[in-house]
Amino acid sequence: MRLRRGPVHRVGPTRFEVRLSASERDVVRSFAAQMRALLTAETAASDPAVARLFPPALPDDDVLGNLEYEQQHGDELLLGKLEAIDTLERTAAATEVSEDEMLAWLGSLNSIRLVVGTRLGVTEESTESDFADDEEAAGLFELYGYFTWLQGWVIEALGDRPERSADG
Amino acid sequence: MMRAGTAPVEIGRPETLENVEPDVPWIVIVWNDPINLMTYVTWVFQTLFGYPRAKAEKLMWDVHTKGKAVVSNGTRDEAERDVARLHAYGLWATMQKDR
Repeated sequence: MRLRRGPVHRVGPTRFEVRLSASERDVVRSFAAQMRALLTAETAASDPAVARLFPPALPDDDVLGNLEYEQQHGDELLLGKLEAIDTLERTAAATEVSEDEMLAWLGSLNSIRLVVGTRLGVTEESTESDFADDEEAAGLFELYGYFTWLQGWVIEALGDRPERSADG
Repeated sequence: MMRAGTAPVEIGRPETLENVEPDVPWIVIVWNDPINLMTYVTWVFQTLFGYPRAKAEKLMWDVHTKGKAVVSNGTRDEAERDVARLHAYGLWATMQKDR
């Protein structure tokens, strides 16, 4: 039984309804654009937040192994994230999206949270009072909380099996 | 890991993880981080590996409470493929020889 409906829910086997305000959609679109700019301008070597999106595959002392992994998978991983970001930006205004598009929302919201969370240095115990002295950080932490909330509902919607959606 | 705020979380009964086969030389480890949501990590384990919800949740709790969990094992190529798939989902995963 669902006592309340989230901003995203399944309306068919591969269809999802997205109910967000115009200003929420603007925020989503803006962060998608910022993510693309970041991923095209910076690398794991130049930016710790980008490094968080592309972690090493082997223990840190295996320099050669990690280099080989990056050569083997780096482009594919970057392209996958950029593609998902493009889908998020393209469908930011959509009221209904496909399952593939919803999966791109999920991955992109996670990438956005990883970047923002790394920039802020969040911990599992972080609260808004930790950022109260810095207006910019406080604003960013509020947006981080918004993306956490939205991602939580996207996970719910994707996990909600089609046969159960009819009684929703 | 972080809780998903207002999104409801259903936690099933944990299930014992099958023993890693002794002759399999590589293991894939997922490490705890403060950003990935607990519900998301569970979802990724279910979706990527086809693990039942109870097993995925057990592994997620191991990551959360013990700092890491072995989530799969196999040949070096299999481990590398799994690590790349986990990285595509934003999880902090590494691989190593199982001694």
